[in-house]
Amino acid sequence: MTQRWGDRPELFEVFRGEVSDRLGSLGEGLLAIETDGISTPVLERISRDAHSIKGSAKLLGFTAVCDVAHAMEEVLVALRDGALSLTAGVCDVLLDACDVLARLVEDGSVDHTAASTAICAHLDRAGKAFGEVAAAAAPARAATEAGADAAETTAERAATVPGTRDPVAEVPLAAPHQAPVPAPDPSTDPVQPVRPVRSATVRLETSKVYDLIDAVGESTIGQVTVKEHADRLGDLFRRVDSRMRRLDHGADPVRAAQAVELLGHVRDELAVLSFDIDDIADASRKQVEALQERAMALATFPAASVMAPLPRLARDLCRELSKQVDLVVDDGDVELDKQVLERIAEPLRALVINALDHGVEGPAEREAAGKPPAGSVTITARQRGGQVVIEVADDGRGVDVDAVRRRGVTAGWLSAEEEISAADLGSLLFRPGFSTAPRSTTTSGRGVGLDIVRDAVDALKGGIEVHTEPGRGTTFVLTVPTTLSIVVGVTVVSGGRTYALPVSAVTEVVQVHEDDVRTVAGQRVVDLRGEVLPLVDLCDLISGAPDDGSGPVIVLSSAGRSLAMRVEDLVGQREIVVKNLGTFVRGVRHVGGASILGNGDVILVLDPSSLLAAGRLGATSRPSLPERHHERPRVLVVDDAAPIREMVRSILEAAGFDVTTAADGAEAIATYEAEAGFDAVVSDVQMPRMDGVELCSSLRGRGQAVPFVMLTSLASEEDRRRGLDAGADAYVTKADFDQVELVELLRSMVPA
Amino acid sequence: MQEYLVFSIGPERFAIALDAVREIRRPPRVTPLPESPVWLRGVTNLRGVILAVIDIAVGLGARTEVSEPKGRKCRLVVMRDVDCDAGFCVDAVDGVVTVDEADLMTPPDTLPELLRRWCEGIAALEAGLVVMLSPEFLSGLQERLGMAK
Repeated sequence: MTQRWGDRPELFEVFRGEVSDRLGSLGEGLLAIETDGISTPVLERISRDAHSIKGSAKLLGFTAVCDVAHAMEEVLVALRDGALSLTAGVCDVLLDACDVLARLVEDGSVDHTAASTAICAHLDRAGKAFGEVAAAAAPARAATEAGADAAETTAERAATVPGTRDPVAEVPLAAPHQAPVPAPDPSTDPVQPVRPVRSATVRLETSKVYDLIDAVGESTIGQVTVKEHADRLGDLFRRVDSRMRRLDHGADPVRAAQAVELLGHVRDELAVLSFDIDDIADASRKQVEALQERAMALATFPAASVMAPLPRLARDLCRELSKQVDLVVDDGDVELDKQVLERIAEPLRALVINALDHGVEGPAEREAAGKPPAGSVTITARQRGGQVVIEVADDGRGVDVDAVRRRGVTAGWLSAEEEISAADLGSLLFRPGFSTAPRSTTTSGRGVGLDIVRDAVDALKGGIEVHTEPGRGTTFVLTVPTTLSIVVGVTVVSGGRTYALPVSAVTEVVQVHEDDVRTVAGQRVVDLRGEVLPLVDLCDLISGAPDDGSGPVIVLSSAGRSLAMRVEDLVGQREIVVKNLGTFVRGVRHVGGASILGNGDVILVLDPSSLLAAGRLGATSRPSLPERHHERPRVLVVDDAAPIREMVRSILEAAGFDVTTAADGAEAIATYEAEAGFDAVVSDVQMPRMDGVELCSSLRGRGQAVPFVMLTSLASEEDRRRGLDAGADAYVTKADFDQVELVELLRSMVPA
Repeated sequence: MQEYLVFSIGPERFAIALDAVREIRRPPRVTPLPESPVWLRGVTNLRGVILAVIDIAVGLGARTEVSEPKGRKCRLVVMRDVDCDAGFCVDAVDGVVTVDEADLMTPPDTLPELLRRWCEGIAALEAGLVVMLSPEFLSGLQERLGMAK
């Protein structure tokens, strides 16, 4: 019954698949009992997993796999029967055994390796902890080495006679008070072949699935041609028809009649053909679409497949780092294309390692901070349109923004006085070489840095954001498309041409009247519910034919930056297959690829990040001052919205002020104290950490009588009063914001 | 002796080695690309694959104005090269001729510079003089595209 897999490679694939599934189940079960204690159903399930691996391995002649699985089963059965008590050590050995099995199967190792021999010995030793029971189990182990069939006997009995897992029972003479053990009936025959694993799944090579998807895609194109041919047949029919009507019957009536008859046949045939082909083309288009959808579904796998190994990773890492962390994984039943899944597996690991290593504090530090000793890391996945949003949230110490800034300044990524926005923070953390701290734990051996997250996100045209609060924790939000083959595109018209934009980059579509557009430092901006965005026309960005400037405005966002972009018209949303631009053209500015429409026409898929960068260029370019003149009046501008900060900065710098910025009240206080001598403060009201009213009170509380201007979208009388009560000298609402007014106001307040 | 595909663009006749021609099709609908040289007319759909369409008369400096291909005889010649494919429109495909390289005449130095660079010689055929193009003009144009950026 033993068969070498070498003769049957396809059997090996099936075996590999089965072991991988079983090991998944085993790993998960082991973690469950380690966390929640002994559970008989779980132990039964995972004993069966070990048993099943053993059986299949034996069938295919994988001696080492068979022995390791057998030794695991022994330990699991002992645990189930209460003969062995559960300790972390036992779980460790069992989990290690899972790893060894995975490696053996991955490598296709038939015979024992150093690792497999060692793990068998470890498992035996763990098993021996159960005293006299183990004494009898040891011969069974010896039997395994001598001949696997004998071992099978022990295990089968153990499995079929639950509760009598006393090896003595296998030797009737040693239990004279018991009824003689009946002769084993065929159903419990210890050498019965392993039960085939029935499963409703088929294993496929991924490449086969993508070949199928491609082939289906190609057939779409074919049916477009069929449609065109139907149209041409229709044209031909009409031409023959009209020619027949104009036929001159005079010269030779007989031959003319023959010609008419023949043409009549041709015409009728053409009519039938063109209509038939047209129908067939329509039907086949629908079929192809359905086929395409199903083919795509083949390549879709649950997000759970990449999230399931995370608890194990967390467990090992926590032990290594001497931390306690509750890891909660909620995959939301989300499914993703395998190509995407493969690319997010590593980034997810990196984010979890980062959360455990840098986010969550050690128990002592947590308790000192008044937190429960065990930290929490929550990983959630949610479907949002054509995208999946994965959050990795910890309740740790939060990112040390100052340290990040220092690191950024040291590395020359930031200038010393530059403030750091949430978007900047993210981009710094994900830089290659950001973390330079040498690490000696095996954590670093895992070869992760957050830069791999950025690389993967870029490759997938996804997004990553960081939200952090000191002492409260950090949340990384990873957004990736569900599939690479198809994206949902927003189709827009500009300069009479149709373009597609990935819907992932489109936040909203708004109507903007020319009255709402203002000009700030030469840049057209639009106020969207308090957020001031630069406004550009798509036709200008791509140097297309000009539009009339009355079309809808699309708000593009990526990596925390936004842009309002006017288009000529909005057509709608459609799923598009993004293709590259071919072999001749290697990249065109603002164009990410192309897609073929149902009618065979090509539309260009625009690259939102490139449009954003170009569109915002005008907004972020500051007038470059040759040097700082401290004779100029110095103004501290405080706002959590970088666009507004930069807008105010450019207005004031253009008006001859020396501007320093801060992203919130707390930072403003720090800056104010570090660099004395500000002549005025212009501050937003609503900001995280410390708002504008608190900032004003705080400055006044420190005896600072510096002129203070509140600049905010809040316009209610109550807010105005709160601001003025706190000691503000003036209050300017963004709704009626006028740059001249602000400049005049400040000039009136500061010493000339 | 080598086989050449002879084609007309306006009053001019050109030829390229038949080996370099992948197929000849009806003129396609072309989607222009933003911010690209005029001679890169855009991209089209060739059986589901995106193919660049160029105007070789303008690209090689034989003409300055891009002209939309018209007429019933107009065709797209799809070229195959080692690492890039592209198509160009011609006003007519005149046929295939066999030419002995030894019979080729040196191109006159009045020929526009780019055209002269990619011209293997001038052949005197029945229909008149034909500019024999080296298929390498395709990668030459691709390089120009890279430099234009």
